[in-house]
Amino acid sequence: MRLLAVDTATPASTVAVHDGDRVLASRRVSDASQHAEVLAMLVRDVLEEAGVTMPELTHIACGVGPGPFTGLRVGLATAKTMGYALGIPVVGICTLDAIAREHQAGVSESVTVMTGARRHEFYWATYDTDGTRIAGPEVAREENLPISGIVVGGPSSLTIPDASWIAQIAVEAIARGEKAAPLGAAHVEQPAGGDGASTADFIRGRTLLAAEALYLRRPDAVPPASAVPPPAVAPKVRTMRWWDIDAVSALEPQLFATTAWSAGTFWSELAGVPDTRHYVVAEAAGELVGYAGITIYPPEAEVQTIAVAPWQQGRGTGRALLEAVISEASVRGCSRMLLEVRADNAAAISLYESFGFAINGRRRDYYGAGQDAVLMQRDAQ
Amino acid sequence: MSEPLILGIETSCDETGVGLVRGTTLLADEVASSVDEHVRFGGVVPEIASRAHLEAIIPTLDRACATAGVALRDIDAIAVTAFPGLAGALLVGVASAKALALALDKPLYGVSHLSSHVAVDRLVHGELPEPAIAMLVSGGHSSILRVDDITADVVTLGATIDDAAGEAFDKVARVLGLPFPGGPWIDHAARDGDAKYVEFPRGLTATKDQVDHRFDVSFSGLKTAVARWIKAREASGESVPVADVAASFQEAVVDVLTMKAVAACREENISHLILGGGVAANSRLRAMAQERCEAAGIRLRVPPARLCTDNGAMVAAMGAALVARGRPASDFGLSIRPT
Repeated sequence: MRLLAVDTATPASTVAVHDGDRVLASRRVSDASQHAEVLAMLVRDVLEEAGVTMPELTHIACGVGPGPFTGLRVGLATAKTMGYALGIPVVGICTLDAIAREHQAGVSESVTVMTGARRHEFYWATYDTDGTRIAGPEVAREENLPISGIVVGGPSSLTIPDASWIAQIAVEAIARGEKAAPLGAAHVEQPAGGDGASTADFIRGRTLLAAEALYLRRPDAVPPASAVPPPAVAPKVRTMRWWDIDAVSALEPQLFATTAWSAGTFWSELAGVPDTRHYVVAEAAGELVGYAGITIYPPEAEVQTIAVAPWQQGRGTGRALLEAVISEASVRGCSRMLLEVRADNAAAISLYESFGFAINGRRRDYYGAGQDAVLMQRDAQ
Repeated sequence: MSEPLILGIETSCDETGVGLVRGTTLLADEVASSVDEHVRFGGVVPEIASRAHLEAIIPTLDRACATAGVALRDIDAIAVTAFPGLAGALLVGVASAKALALALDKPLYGVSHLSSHVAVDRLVHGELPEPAIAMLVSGGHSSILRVDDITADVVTLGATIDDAAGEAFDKVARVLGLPFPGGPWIDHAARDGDAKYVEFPRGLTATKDQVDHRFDVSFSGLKTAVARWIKAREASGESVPVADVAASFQEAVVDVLTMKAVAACREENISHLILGGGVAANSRLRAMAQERCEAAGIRLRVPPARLCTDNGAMVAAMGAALVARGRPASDFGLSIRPT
């Protein structure tokens, strides 16, 4: 094994090479404004010192943060591209895990690691005496940081990782046969108010992660209040992204009243993308006017939800959404599609029938007393 | 022996572009755009663009190689946009390009986004005429350049002193209730409009501006004038003729741009003008530039609209020019220079 490790989640740019038994060489430069300038040179120098050539590398491990975004992406872009060019696997390691490991030897208390997140905020995670991550990673303001146990880093003493720690953790996890956990939408942020699963929930018990940035925060961007009503234009369908969840959650109760999904449910659903879920939204003039989602378990796909904003109904939006999910299901090898719909929703049933769905069952009182569900099925020709 | 194969990476704004060029032959031009994700914000959000670049870079590289039918190991050099642009966005492309250069053991060329917009015309109309005047108009830039050697000697004669032309299109589109990005929507709406309906101001064309701002442009005053005109119209209870206002606004922008570009050719005594940048896709700009160049005896070169917007092919074309002229490669410490 020849594993290259990089980390740019803190002010440090750090690189190491590990042969499966030990670290052969490592380097670290601490300058938050220089990640992009120095990282490639560090990689070149470390390989040279270790006497390892590029084609000899077998794995790449990248610190995936959490960390300030611009620097964090330098390490990830480097690791992912190098892995792609060399045709070798790239795994992610939570940067805080690596720092905790290094400070855990011989301690009898939990360890909380903190790194700088700018704006008086810190990324943190807490580890049990046996090294298990028991809380975090999360981002919190200075005054809300946990203070029990041993604290590493924080407002008064910034701490930085070394890529040799990242390498060591990765080598051990790979040796255990652990597989990198896909993150879906989970790497983007922790939903507010404890509603739904957070990044911490998704990566609990995992050491090897997908090579995706653990941002934990969404971009600071606020849609401007529209001064003019949007013109009537044909809706455009695209993949649903995490930043659509606010708009989707605002529409959901208007359409489904008592059975509306929470934002947390959408977060959980998007975490299944692309493995077992596919979600799309329809936009008209920059405004979200509908959405649809399916589960994908070939050879079957099932429509989870399909919704069109009241003011947009009758403009072909439902049809466009349905076309998009049917096409994805077909591409993904699903020959059968299933769905359920309220028995009294004649418009929807006739839309489904026009796409080749046929009624194959009925569930009594599925949506409440007197409100039956009709089950429909469509088989590819 | 065939000419070197150059890979170009562009991530300076909201398009993740990867192009492959051999000499002056375009082999692949793959672009992943995050524009849909910026629509609701009415402009490009740097952090969203940067995140999208990181997600798109590998799939876009992969598509470019597949389209061109080449393997990464066949590439002879890697070019990447190093300036100007959004810092977080540029960094993704530069980090990725350095990783490729290291992994493949090939030279790396950090290139100018502006020069690349000019160099892309090599792929369509052959080697660039030099010297030439180039006018680059996009959402981020409005510059008039004198190009004596695209790989070494490009001088900025003038630029916008406030908004870029593309930004003015976006902002006017917003007050007219047209979607983002505004350029194509205004172009479309203006086709049914009267360009002489309102005489909007032409910035920096007054006699007093001919000394300090001879080849500079300004669109901030125009944008405000359009917004004020619409407000006054609405206050009087009348409806706003969207097509006529769009046409009149577009006419003002295009009039100033072509006037300044032709003047630059005349005064520098240069008989070639090259247009580039996303706004060069505008149909009225292309038509008026053609008309005025013909009248002035200037040969106009405009790449097809598809190559005017940001893409990786233009960066590869620029890289190919650097390699062809034997310019030195960048070192791995290459820095970005954001706007």
